[in-house]
Amino acid sequence: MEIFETMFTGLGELLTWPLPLWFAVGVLNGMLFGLLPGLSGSVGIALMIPLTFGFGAGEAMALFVGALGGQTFSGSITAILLNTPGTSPNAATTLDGYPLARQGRGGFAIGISATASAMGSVIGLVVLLILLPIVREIILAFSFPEFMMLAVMGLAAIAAASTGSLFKGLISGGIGLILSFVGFSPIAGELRYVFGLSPLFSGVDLIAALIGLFALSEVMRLLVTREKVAPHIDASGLSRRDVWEGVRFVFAHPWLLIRSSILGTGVGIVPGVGGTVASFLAYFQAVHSSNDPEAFGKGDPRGVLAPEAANDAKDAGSALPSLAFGLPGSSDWAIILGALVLHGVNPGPNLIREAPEVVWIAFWVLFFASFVDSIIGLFAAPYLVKITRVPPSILAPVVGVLAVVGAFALQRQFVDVIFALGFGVLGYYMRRHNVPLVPLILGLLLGATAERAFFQSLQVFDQGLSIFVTRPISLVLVIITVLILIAPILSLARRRRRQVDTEKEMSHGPR
Amino acid sequence: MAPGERNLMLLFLVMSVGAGLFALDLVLPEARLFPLITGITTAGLILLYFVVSTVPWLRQHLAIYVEDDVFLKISGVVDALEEEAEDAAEVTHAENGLPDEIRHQREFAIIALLVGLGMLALLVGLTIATPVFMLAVMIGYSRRPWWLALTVTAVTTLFIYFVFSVVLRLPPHFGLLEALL
Repeated sequence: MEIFETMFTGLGELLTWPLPLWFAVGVLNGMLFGLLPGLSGSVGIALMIPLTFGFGAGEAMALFVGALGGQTFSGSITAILLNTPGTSPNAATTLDGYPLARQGRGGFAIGISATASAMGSVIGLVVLLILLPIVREIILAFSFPEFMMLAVMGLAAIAAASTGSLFKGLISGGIGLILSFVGFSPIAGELRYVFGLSPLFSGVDLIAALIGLFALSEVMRLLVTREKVAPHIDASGLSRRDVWEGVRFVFAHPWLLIRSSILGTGVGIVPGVGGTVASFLAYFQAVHSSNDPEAFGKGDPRGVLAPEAANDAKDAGSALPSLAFGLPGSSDWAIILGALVLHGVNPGPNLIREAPEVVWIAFWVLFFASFVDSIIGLFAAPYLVKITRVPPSILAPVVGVLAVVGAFALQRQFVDVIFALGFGVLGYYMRRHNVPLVPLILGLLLGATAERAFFQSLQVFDQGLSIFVTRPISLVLVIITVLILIAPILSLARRRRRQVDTEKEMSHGPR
Repeated sequence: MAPGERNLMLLFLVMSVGAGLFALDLVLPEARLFPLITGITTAGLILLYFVVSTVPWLRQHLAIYVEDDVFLKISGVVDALEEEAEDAAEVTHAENGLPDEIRHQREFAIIALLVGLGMLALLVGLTIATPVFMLAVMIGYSRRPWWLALTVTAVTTLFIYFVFSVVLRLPPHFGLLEALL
């Protein structure tokens, strides 16, 4: 098949210098930011955007996706050894990982985590490999109405799935769309919302917004909360023999590994759902499917295997909506898609049609990153964990300055510094009040595309608004959007019914 | 609804209403239609959010739309977390324990520092403003020892110079001072 022909072209490109270098830099960046409690991997990706000045799309993909793949396992090292998850999806790993470390079996837990992460990623990528050709066939049937409805559905899905209420998600998406209108109208060419200020003619810079929302808002949060330095750990329980025992444990539980990985991939496919849902769902399915659920929470190794496999598999899952439809599967993908615009790549269904080799580079980077990350982690965990001793009061101004200089460096326009600072403060308050950031970025990213697709649908098909419900795929997208919006009500009704049934059962008493 | 959240929503409401009103002034219908629809819809959603959050009857019946973490609740993760993993939930929401008064003071100080950075960068450029900002944060705000702050600032400035000026060949930025130099 044509799609698989480009698969090895992508591998060939990834192995061509200097892509291996950017891949390695990306993985190390991901590991570093994944390890640092308080700073998410998203910050690391956002900070690297200005450094890709002059990069091709493939080089940028190797760097960014390398960072994405590198952060998932390293966050589990601090979760296991310090009871402090490096990234929020690693929180589920603390439940059994930390008790294992306290029993002097930290090396065993790290061995499980590293192997489950690498294997979870492989299983996730196999699922992606099966789904990608099917999805591509659907995408080939897309025209303007489908592009328009895809943007609407994506916003609704991400609003529903992100942290914060559905209302907040939709409002955030609407604000993102409004901000995307600043500058020249993509159809009419008329200037909008610039108020006579020439720096606004080119619109709100997406990269400055990404740097502000994801990096500067984190800097503000770190400085406000003054998070404590991680405690010193005793690394004597991390013997090589323990680590290998952990590796063997994963291969002795293949079904749990496969189940958790498939669950993680499935969760990752839903746009906007983060790894936290994937890892906790996998953890609870491991508890419920176990014969001795009471062992969990006290240092059961299966409680490390399941969330870590799901967490890495979710990266492969979230690559599908991100690369095939341009709908970010996670906040990391939102940044990557935004940054790719800088390199001449237009995220959306056209990506897989026009630049399939870039999609395959992402695939191979995810594959190799999970192994490189796990191997480095296995051997260097006791040393890597020392990075967490850097005080946030030192880290925050360094990250802040890198973010501001990076925002300016891309176009050497001072307005980008103002945008980055403004979005930093806005992002801080949005996080503080649980208003999700990803819908805002998606609105900003898709605003022009959706507007163009809307008018092209009306002009090309000349059927008015009915065109959105008369084409089959567009109609399916409309139905999915409606279902996403009414799903919470249906779920609430089901929960209430279950509650009433339980109350009835309790009032009747045992028979 | 917390006062901070209300203020944020009011800001969004002003932006949405403004987008709708200014769209009416646009000449071409192709430029006007999309911002108008988006502005009205977003403003409507914000007003609905205010109403649902404040009217008890609506809040009770439409709670699922205004509650946080809907997906986590639908998937059952939240319930399970509450029962089995209170510690993990505490890890991700550590900042909620900070008293409001102290948080507001700190937020104000940091915003003032960021505004100061922006203004100084405009006047004397990022090359001078960024080390000043770092020293102000580390010594003035975080009370770190001056020698440590100086060392970190020097290393970071050298790193920035190396990456942006040597590797990416971008000239240093001196803001309005550039005209005088």
